[in-house]
Amino acid sequence: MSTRDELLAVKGLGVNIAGATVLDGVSLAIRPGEALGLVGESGCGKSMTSLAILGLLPRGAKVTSGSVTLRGEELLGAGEDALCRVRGGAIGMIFQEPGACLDPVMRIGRQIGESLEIHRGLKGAAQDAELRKLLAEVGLTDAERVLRAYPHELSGGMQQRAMIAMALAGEPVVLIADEPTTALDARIASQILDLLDRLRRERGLALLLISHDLAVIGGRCDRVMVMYAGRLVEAAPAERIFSEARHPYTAALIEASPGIAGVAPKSALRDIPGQLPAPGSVMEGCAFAPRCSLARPACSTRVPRWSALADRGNERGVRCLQYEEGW
Amino acid sequence: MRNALFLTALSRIATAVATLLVVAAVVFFLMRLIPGDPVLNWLGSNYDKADYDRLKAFYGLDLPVGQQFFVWVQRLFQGDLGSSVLTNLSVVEELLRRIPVTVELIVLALLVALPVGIGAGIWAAWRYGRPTDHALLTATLLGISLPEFFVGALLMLAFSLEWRLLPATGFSRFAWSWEHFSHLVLPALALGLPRAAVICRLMRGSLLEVFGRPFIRASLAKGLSRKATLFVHAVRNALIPVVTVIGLQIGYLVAGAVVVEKLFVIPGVGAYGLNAVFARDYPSVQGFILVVATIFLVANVIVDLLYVWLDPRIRIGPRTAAA
Amino acid sequence: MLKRTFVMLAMTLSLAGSVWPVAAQQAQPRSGGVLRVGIQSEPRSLDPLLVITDGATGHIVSSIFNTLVKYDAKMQIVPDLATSWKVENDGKAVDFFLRKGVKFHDGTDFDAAAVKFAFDRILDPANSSPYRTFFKPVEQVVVINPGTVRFVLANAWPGFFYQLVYVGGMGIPSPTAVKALGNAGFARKPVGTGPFQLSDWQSGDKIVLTKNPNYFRAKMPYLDRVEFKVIPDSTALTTSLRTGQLDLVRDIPTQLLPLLEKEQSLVPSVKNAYSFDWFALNAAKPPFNDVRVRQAINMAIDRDALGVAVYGKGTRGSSSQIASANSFAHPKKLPTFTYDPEKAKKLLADAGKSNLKFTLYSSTVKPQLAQEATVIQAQLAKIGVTVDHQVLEHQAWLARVLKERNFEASTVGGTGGPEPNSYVMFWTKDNPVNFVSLNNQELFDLVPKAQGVINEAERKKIYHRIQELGAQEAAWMALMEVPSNAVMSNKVKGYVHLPYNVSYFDDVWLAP
Repeated sequence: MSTRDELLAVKGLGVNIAGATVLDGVSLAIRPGEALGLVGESGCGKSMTSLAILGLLPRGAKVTSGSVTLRGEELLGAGEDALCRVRGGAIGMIFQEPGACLDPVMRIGRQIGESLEIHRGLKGAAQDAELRKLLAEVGLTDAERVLRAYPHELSGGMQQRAMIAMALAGEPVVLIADEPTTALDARIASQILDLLDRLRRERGLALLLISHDLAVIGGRCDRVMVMYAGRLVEAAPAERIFSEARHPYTAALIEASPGIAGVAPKSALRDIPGQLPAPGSVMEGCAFAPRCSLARPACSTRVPRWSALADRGNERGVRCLQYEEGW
Repeated sequence: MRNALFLTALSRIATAVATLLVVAAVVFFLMRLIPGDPVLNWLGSNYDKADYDRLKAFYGLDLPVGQQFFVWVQRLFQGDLGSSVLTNLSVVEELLRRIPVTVELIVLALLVALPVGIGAGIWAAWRYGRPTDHALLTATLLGISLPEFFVGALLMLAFSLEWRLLPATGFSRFAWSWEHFSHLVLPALALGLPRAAVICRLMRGSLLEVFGRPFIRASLAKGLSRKATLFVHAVRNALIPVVTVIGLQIGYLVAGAVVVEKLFVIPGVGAYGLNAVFARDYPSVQGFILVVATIFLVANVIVDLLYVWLDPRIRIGPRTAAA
Repeated sequence: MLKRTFVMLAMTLSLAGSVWPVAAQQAQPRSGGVLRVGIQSEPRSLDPLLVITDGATGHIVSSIFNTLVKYDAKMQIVPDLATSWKVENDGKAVDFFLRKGVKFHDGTDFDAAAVKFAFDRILDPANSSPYRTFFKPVEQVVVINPGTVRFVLANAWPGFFYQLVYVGGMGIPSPTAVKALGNAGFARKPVGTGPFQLSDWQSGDKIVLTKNPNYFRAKMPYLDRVEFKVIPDSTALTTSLRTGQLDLVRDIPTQLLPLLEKEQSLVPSVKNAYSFDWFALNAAKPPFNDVRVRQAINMAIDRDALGVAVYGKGTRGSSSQIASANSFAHPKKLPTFTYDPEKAKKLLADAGKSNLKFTLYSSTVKPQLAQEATVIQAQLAKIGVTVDHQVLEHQAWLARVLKERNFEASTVGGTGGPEPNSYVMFWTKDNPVNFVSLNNQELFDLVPKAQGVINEAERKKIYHRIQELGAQEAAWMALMEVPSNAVMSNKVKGYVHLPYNVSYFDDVWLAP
């Protein structure tokens, strides 16, 4: 892949919160029309990554290294005005719990209209027409009612569709969906994922789909990246990762996930033993070492490097000592 | 549907009237439990027992207390609150003359308390953890702990005595003139600033809570600037819990008006009530209590309406169905 | 006759601050202007006959109404509506010859019938006048002719003239107005013959008097208006004075005087007056039903120290019943209690009350009463007496102490007048105000008798004896004389500070 194809590129991103490292050397790139899945347990740094991309890190969090570029333009350290144009403009974002992400005291129409106004300068009748178009695009049919509705008057699925419409309002080239279906029941969740899929194809969007659930990611993405404790541990084409997971964590994750397309769970809902380390406490060696069944003494003292793997021409990589020399 | 609305409105009014009566009754009997005798006000340092008895009968204070209350309620429903034992003036007339004064004072105090309190609260939350925030928190702590009369006296010393900008006391009848309002600036500040301090702290806390809610992050992710997010989304949401408390603050305003009216010599309901209580002027105390309770009830109805306007979730909630 | 003591505080200060003292003295009175007077409480009524005109009320009614006689600057009785009078029938009748051509503010004529109407109004029990008991000796008021009125008295009554100007004075109202408005109406719309007439009463705010253009003193008064502004709060009152929003305040709380003395634009005046603060011991209840205990406690109070502590430098302690301003009735050698804690201890021991403990009340009507109680508490602790001091809200105090007489001891504020009888008149057996339950037959005999004795030497002797008896009983003893004060702007000219609840504004004018 050449860097020119890359729409959004994150390189060696490091983030600290109050001195504790929460992201360490995260790199990812995404091309137009491509769907990249970012997976990991909650707290592993997936959401932090997406917030860092938009410059929306919480109070106290600081970027310590790396870069974030959109069409080659650096976003880290960009001015607030420039970032405001990117947020909701070139990069649209949707979150989990759409009910909580919509302003409870503002009508849906105005909330989406706000985006149309700030990014495309649409007001009045033009805005209204565009609103209806957007609603139709995300599958909300009763535009009249939806536009006048307050968030609490819509179902969860409708709320998420409205959020998607809002994210589309700025005509983005990249869509970041952070756990977009976690708060929804299974049937609605798959509808929403279908919708995202369709939009990606129709609009040629680059989709960064973030989830803790490999099942969500699996069937929808071209490539999958796995994160653990603030570090990327594995990257692979979607179709390969389930069959040939290289990192012990990926393997454990797959084992714990029920109903992944094509892969029957070896044991239903088996948890990965142990828990995610507290941020900042483990950067000595491999963060997964305490939970890893294959761990050796070296694992808790040496930080594993990113090893590129040759896999039939696919881009693959893993961060595990067993792929390094001297294992 | 309309019938149901009518019925709920009716029940609401009935509840309000019942509340008023209960308040009036409690005060009626409480006042008579406090030692004191308004008739002694009329008698000098040398009087006959017969004079005392005659006056007592004249004011109807020789009847058993229960009967006095009955007579009072009976007259109340005829729109008659009796006349003051202290001045013989009609309580209704006195109150009608004074209510607009107190209402104006309270409205002016709200015009101080709301913008200052909400504004300072927004500012403090915006500057959370920085010197501005600390300074505002300290100032509001002072504002909360200093009683109205102290704030009033300070303002008077500063603005009237030291800088000679505003009159210390005095009152002029309502007019759209500086002469009229110049006398109300300091009282409104004295009454409003302590309330502003309370509202500021609430607003700050409420905003900080709202800042942590997902829709704020979503709004920023949408491309709204931090300022626009603050004013378009955060403030209105943060106002919802604050408005509930503002309803209670109106109670404090009425109580504070008693002190402030006395300090700045404003002929309102508060000063009237205070004098009445000290003189055991029972009919005036009763009238005063009715007015205060009514102001409080009306203020709460207004707050309920504001609430509905601010928070659309209430319109179809069980609250509307019950109210 | 009355020996006056003037204590002019800060006189030197105010003179030093005045840039053109000579010019000011030579200035001629000028007409016009508004005098703004601060008052701390609002009158309940401006009817001088049906309400006790103490506090601010006296200063207001004495400008709306005239009385038959009035005070001059030395508190001597001089003519007002009566130009002269004649005492006849061994003092049992007094004829007043009335000023001619005087009109009430409503245009009706003032005459003998109006005088009779006024006093009949006081004497009619239906009106519940607080002055009715004072005028009990008046049997009848007779109109001799329009210019002459006769008071027929049950007995000779030398104090009669003083009673006519008791507190705000027995102002003569317009009979027409009283009949038209009724008692309640007249209380709010008083009509008299005075230099000013009521033009506006904004309750809770101010009372405005305007110049009476038909006043019987030609070209008087000088002022166009006198405005009485109700300012109950001390801070507001002093601030208004200092910022020139007020021109005059009477009897400001003494602790505020030092603050005002510093202000160059203000002229304070402090005078000995007719007020005492008292120490009341309930003679009907243990432990003070034993006269030795009452005397002992009175001996253990250092009154001079108490006076200075509460009212400031120059305040004199007193254990009399009649103020020194009433020099006529005030003996040179007072039968007082001198401070003697040792003797007090011994007396208590004799009475078997060495470890005496009692409750001392004070009312909230003025703050000094509680301060006094605190000082007394400390002083009595020195002789081993434990005092439990309790402050009662004034109405509660009235009910408990005055009406129910359910108390052991209390500090009390009280004012007499130029007439000595005003201090002792309620010392009769069944008087409702004899709340200390004095029970001394000689006293009960002498108090009414003193009123009827014309011979000055004999009267003097009786009042001296009354005070002796009072000191023996030791149930109702003064603590100190409370001075009267007036603070006015240096623009106010011609105001005479009478140490009483009365002000005559006829001659007052404002310097430019």
